[in-house]
Amino acid sequence: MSALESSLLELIREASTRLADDVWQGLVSAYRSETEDSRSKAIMRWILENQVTAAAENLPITPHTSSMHFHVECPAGTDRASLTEAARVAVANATKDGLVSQYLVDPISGKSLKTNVGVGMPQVHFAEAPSDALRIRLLMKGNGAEGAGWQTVLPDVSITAAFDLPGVRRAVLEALIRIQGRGCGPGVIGVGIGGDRASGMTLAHRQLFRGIGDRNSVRVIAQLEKQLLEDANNLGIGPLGLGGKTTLLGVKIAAESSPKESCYVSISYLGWTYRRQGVELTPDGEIKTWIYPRTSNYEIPKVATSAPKKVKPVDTTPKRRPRTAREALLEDARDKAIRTVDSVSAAKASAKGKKAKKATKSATSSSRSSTAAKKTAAKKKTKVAKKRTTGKG
Amino acid sequence: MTALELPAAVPTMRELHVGEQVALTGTIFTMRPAVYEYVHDGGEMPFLSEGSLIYNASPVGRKKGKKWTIDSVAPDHSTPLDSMIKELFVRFGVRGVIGRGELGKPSLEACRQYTSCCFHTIAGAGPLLASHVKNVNEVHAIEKLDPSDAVWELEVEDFPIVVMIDSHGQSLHDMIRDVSNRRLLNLQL
Repeated sequence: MSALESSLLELIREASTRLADDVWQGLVSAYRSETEDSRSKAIMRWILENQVTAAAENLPITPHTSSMHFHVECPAGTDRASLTEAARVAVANATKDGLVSQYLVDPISGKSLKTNVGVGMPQVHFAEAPSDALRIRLLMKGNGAEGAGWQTVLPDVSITAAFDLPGVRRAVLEALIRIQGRGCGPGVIGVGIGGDRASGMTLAHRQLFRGIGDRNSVRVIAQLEKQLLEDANNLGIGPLGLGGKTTLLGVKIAAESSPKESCYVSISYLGWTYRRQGVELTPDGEIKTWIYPRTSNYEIPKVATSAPKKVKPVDTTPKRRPRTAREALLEDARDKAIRTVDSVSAAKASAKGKKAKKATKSATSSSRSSTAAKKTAAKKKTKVAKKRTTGKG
Repeated sequence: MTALELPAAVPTMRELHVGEQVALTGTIFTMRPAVYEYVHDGGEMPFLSEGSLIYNASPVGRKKGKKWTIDSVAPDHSTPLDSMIKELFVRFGVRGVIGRGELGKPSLEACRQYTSCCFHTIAGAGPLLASHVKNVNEVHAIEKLDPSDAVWELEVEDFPIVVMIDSHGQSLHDMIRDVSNRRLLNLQL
């Protein structure tokens, strides 16, 4: 195995066994934010425990894979064919090592491709690097996450979304309602605005390479990202779609130019099994640095209570405009009338009450006398019975 | 968290309600779409007994000598198998299916009719779920199928699951969908 091939295998190993620091911190803060003793809190804890177990035993956080994407930034004149070949060899070796499950088949014959290397798979994309550094990023998606992707064209009458930013917001929320818990939620949603069907989807897909806490440099888009994250976490879909506060860890949006009649909104999704990492390589193919900071120690916070938020007491008294003279006169008259009616009815009720009390008193006295009569009758009977028994004896 | 021991009796299943967290202990059997189709075509599953649970999963394991050990056992989507779940209840007296993803009307009706449940476990969490497997009793049909497609008989302890559909005709996914739709309307877009 060449140095480049073994570096790429190491990249696959790192991406599939260890979540990068930003993702881990995102999951930890989601765990903290969930309500104590709730189902969603338990689920978030299981998700964190899964990473701890995987890291301890050097196992992939999930074996399920449906696509692997290498994004290469290389200086001009790089031998792209040999880079692609190295990526294919690395994927075959990773499959042999059990880092990736056997997932690839030939769609025509249905025959499984044992090494996960086939026509156009794994995908290797190239871009010209701004400097002479060789950087390779990797993204691995599972079946659920890939299937959760969606695309629509604005204006879209079926979801009442116009060709404007509120329309984009509506479309993304519609996608979330469709996704619910599929694709191992909570995750990150990548959104591509504009372009065409293919380029929009690629743009959305590329957003998943951004850091969890990253915001778009364009102010309007950054605001939309923030707004949508808030909206998403208010939907109540929660981890795995089983209810809770954390539906998403992040929203990443980017825009491309768009034809004036229609705007494509493309959505790509990646769940908490966020297998994404990157390396900068030396010219010999050795690993120089990791692009995404790694976590030295996966530690689940023991005290998981978030600081209670201070809530301002809400003023619930209804606010009214001052009364006009005419209104005041009418209202006061009405109040007076009600008061007099009340007092009259109260007087009547008290009079009735006195009568009723008298009636109950007489009833209780009569019942007392009747019980006394019964008792004497019973005594007489027993006497008679005793006499009879004595007579017989 | 409710503890559930297998084999599960009808009254126990009736006590489980939608959204409840359950710690499962006992023997479960993994099944893949290929095996579902085999059952659908009239195939027999002699090792399944009344009150057992099926787990839709493709395990990743290793054979050491004669013994299998398990590295990872993440759930598969139950959604494509929706129409075939009832057959397991009818023919083998299975009391529940564990998986991930939404299930629709056919499973909802089957669970009500046969006092059974459908469960959701943590999607993707292969190593965590494998750590709850205490023993691999046997791997059935391994000679005919790929290891991940075979029927693995797993002895589990405190296996974490959530009730997705209960025997009273309630579905957690339907509830969450209703909540999220209502909240979407409240956003007043």
